[in-house]
Formats: sequence, structure tokens, C-alpha cells
Amino acid sequence: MKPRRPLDPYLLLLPSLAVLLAFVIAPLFFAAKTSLYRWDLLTEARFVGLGNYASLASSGQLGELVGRTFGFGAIVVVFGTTLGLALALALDRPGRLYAFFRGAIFSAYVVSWVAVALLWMWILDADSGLVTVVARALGLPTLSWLGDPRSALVTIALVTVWKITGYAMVVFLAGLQAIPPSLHEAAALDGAGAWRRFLHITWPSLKPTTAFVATTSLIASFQAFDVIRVMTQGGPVRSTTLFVYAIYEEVFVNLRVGKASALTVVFFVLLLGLTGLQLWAFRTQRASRPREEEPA
Amino acid sequence: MAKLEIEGLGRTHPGAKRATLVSIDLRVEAGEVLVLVGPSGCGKSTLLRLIAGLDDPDGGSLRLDGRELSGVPPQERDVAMVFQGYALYPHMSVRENIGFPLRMRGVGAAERAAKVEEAAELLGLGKLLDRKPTELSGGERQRVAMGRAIVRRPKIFLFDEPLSNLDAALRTQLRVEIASMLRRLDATALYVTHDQIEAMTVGDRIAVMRDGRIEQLGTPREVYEAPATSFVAGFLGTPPIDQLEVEVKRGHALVAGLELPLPRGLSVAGRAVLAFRPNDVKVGASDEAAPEGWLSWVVAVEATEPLGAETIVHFSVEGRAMRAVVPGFFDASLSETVRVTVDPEKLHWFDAATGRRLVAAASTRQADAEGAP
Ligand SMILES: Nc1ncnc2c1ncn2[C@@H]1O[C@H](COP(=O)(O)OP(=O)(O)OP(=O)(O)O)[C@@H](O)[C@H]1O
Ligand SMILES: [Mg+2]
Repeated sequence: MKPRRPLDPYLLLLPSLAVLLAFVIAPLFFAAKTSLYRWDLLTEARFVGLGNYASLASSGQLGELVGRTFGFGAIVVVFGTTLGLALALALDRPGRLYAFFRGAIFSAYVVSWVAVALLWMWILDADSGLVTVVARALGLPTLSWLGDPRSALVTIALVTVWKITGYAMVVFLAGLQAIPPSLHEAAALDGAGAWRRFLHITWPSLKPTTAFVATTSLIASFQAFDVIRVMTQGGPVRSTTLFVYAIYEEVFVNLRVGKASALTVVFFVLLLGLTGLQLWAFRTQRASRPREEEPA
Repeated sequence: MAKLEIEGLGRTHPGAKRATLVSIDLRVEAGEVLVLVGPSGCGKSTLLRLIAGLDDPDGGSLRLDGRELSGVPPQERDVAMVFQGYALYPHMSVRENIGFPLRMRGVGAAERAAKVEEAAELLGLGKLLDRKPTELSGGERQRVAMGRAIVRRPKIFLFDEPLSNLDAALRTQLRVEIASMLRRLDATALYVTHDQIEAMTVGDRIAVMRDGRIEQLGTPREVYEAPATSFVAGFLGTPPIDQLEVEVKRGHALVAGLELPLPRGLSVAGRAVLAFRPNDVKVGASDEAAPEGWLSWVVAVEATEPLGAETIVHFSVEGRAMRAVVPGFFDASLSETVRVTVDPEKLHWFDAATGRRLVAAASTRQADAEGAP
């Protein structure tokens, strides 16, 4: 069929395309171009070709950043997903008490990152924080959670887990509720106890949900910025300098716009790959979702 | 195969205003197929779920082969159930679906494969073993659900409207297959349906339920020929039985302009319900005399439905629409008058207030019958 007014669809798309162009695509091209220059925002930019990329790679800074960011992501994904699933399984029950717990846990996800970061700084404060006070009272050794380069990254990762687990839980709850109860009943009659019902019914049905939660958490972890800006400013000894924070630091602290732009381009490529992964996970989730066999 | 004994089983769902099941007493003998029929919401599924252990009764006892079931979780009851929506495991192939109950019982892979093959053969699923449930038609899914139930020999089978999601033709075919398979397996089964033809064809006995009680329990013939209440009478049979509330005076029922003598031994004051099946109504020429004591009216034909083997003739008496089923085709122009008659032996009498049957169908004959006009 031939459309009578072939331009209309594009006209309708124009507003969103314009926004996309102005705030995403144009800055990206700007970053790509800037990454080829040495520029401190004050003096004239100087063309250096791929020099910024070369120095990022040769100084080891890039490898370090990627490694640290992925490590951080791994902790967030593994703990966030597992905890989210465990909470969903524990709280998928009728009753007001359970509804209250579900709401309380999800509320952490709604609170702003800055508030969460401040709250945990207070809780973890090495001198007067809640954790320190309790540990002292119990005679346990105290730890400078955010002050020690060995523990700072893990601590921030766990704070991130604390914040996003509520979201994972809600997605898992939706996944659980999409499993027809008759499947569990049939499995029970077929001789499966609670654990084997989880293994043979719940878990296979939740696999696509798990893939979805894992990729979403990974992307959330890659975007971590506010929490680092507030809690550690990338320290101590750069141990919590993740990708986005490094970009920020290069521009606003070191005034190396070219290098920051090069980092941005690399990061963009990484995120593009991850988004592809997420799309793929999302598609498989839809494709393998059990068809509703119960008549409504 | 085992026998199931149910005594005083009751269930009131939390928050419900009235009991879903009111003290059910029922015995299903070993090797018997007992059908539960009743209108929607009468508690059929609830009863099955209590037997399966998916829901807990408020009181009463359930014994399977003499073993008390209360407190026994479903996975230890040795009961198989075919769900209305089949509840096939979507991520497993047909083979894995059918083999699942064996796997859960620790049956080895080789033996399991053999048994799955055997069940699939019996159900004509041989070629479909590697498909996923979403790749099957409704009828095939139904068979897989059956396969999953019969692959191990459970003590009792529970069927919850296993055919209600299928079209009429498939239903007709499968109900015959299910009936013969259950006979062949010599299975004890409880079969829920609200299709009365299915009930008559599948069941050794039928329990008609209403509002959480068993209204009548008997063989299909007993239930059809001697319904215990006017509700049971109305529930079984197509087209449904015609019922007419009548006034009774001095041993006679005043039925739409005629005085019909009551059957002997039947005493009722006030009002009664007179019922007869459309198949028992004879249609003849309006000037033909009716035999003595028969119910007989001259009516106008309002419509005919020729179905091939039989024709349904519609007429009305005192403004009540009624039907007669006559064999073959019936030639009558509309509003032609005919005489409809019913043998008094085929009449059912019920108490108008309680709905209970007033007299056994076989003893309705009134020797000194009188008074058909
Ligand atoms: N979980 C429940 N909570 C509250 N009420 C329920 C529950 N399950 C069933 N009921 C009620 O119990 C009654 C009987 O339900 P049941 O499912 O046993 O009916 P049924 O005879 O199987 O009907 P159908 O032919 O429509 O399947 C209904 O009135 C229903 O609303
Ligand atoms: Mg039901």
C-alpha cells in the first residue's frame, strides 16, 4: 500500500527528533570532535589527532577505569539481583505487613541519590556513625569504610545495591505474579515439594526477568556519579573513580576537555554495547514469556 | 486404584458470606468414575481442590484407600489432576511435561522414557513429544495434560472441566476417548463438568451439586429418569425439562384448563410442580382423542426446529413456552393446531415449596384414571 501523504510520519516524529538531535546526537558529535583536540576551556584548542586516546591507553588510566567500573558493576549486579529475587520470593504474600515491607524496600529506589549518599555517610562515619558506634559497643573492630582504599569501592557498591534492590524486587514480583498459580499446583500434585517447585517452575519462568534485572542494574551501576561525588569524590587514592566520575573530573577539575571527550566516546561505545545486550534480553523476555493458558 | 471416602466435608472461604461447601458426604468406589455436575459456582472445583490438598477444609474427613488425608501436602497424596486450563509447564517439551511426575518421584531416565512413550502412544502424541506446549493445538494440549496424569498410576484422578476450552466437535470426540481410557485403566476418578451430556457419557454415577450440597447421587439413568428435585430435573436433559406450577384440589391437579388426576399415593395440598421432558411429549392431529388419563392439550405450533434426526416443536401453554421433540421431520405450518399428549407415567411431580420429588416415576400410573377432555 502506498501512503497518500508520505511525509506525515516524519512530521509527527519531528519534535522528538529535534530534542534528540539537540541534546544527544549533537553533543556526541561535539564530544567526538573535541576528543581530537587538546583544550583547557581557556586557551585556543589544539588539534592532536588520536593523541588523547593514545595517552589514555598507554598511561593505563583507561584499563584501570574500565576494570574498576566493571568490578563495581559486577558487585552491584550480583548482589542487587540476588537480593532482589530473595526479597521478592520472601515478600510475595498477601497481607498488609508484607505490603508494608514491599513499599518500604521500594521507597529507597525513589529517594534521590544525594539523600541516600548523605544518609549512608552518616551511618558509616568512622568516628560517630551508627555502624561504628554499634561495633564499638559490641567490642568489634571498627573500619573506616569510606576512608580505606580497599573497602571504599565495595562500600559504595553496597550502598548502590541498597538503593536499587527495591527496583529489582518489584520487577521480580511482577515476574512471579505472571506465573499462573496453577503451574505451582500442578507441580505440587506431580510430586514436587517447595524447593523443587522453585527449581523447576519459578526459576525457569523468571530467567528472562533475571536477564532484564541484571542488565538494568549493570547500566545503573555504569551511570554511578552522584553517590561518588557526595561520598568520596573518587578517593581515597582514586579507588572509587569510576568512568562517569573520571569524565567529570577531567573536565571540571583538570580542565582537560579533550581527554574527557575521548573518555566520553569510549564510554558511549561501551554503553551502546550494553544497551544492545539489554535490548536482546528484553526481546528474549517477551519471546519466551509463558503464554497465558488460563482463560481470563 | 483406590476408594475415596468423604465425610462431612465443609469449606467456607475467608470473607465469603456463605459456605462454599456444606458438609459433603460422598464415596467413590475403587475403579469408579464419578461425575460432579452443577451450575457455575456451586463448589465443584472447591471440592476437587480439597481432595487434591490445594485448599484446606474447615471440617470433615477425607480418606483415600483408608488413609486420612488431612495435613498431607499435595505432593504426598498420590492424586493426579487435569486442570481446566491444563497448566502445562511452558518451558518444558511435551516429553518433559509428561515425564515430570515420574522425575519428581525419582523414576530413572530409561524407565521414564519408556513410560512417557507408552502414555504418548496411548494418547496419539507420539509425533509431538519434542514440541513446546505453545506449539500445540487446544486438543493436543488437553491430551498432554491427560498424559501427565496417567503416566504414573495415581490412586485417583481429578478432572476439572477438562474439555471446556475445546470446540464442540473436539469435545464430543475426546469425551468418548476419556471415558474409554478411564475404563481401560480401571481408574478411580472424580470428573467435574457442567456439560450434562459429558456427565451422562463419562460417569458411572453422577452427583448433581447445588449451592455447596449434593442434591442427588445416582447412576445417569436414575438421575435422568427419577430426578430427586425439580432442580436436578431441570439441570439434566436437552432440551431442558418443561415445568409447570399447578394447583392441586381434591386429588386432581388443575393444569391449564384440564383436571389431571394425581398419581395414586401422592398427597399434596396447595401447589405442585408438574414436569415432563420434551422427548416424552407426543404430537398428533388435533382431532385425535388422547388415551384415558393422559395429559393432553390442543395447541398452536409456534415454531419448528428440524435437526435432521428429530424436530423440536415449540408451543405454549398458558403463556409458558414449551417444547416437544418428535422423531424425523415434522410437517406443520405455523399456527396449525395439534394435540400434544404426555403419558402420565412420564410425568414428574415435585413439591412446589421444597422442590422435592413427590413420587417415584414408575408408580405414577393411576388405574382408575379419569377426565382427560
Ligand atoms: N479462593 C476463593 N476465595 C473466596 N471465594 C472463593 C474462592 N474460590 C472459590 N470461591 C467461591 O466459592 C464458590 C464455588 O467456587 P468453585 O470454583 O468451587 O465453583 P465451581 O462449581 O467450580 O464453578 P465453575 O463451574 O464456574 O468452575 C464460588 O461462589 C466462588 O466465588
Ligand atoms: Mg470450577
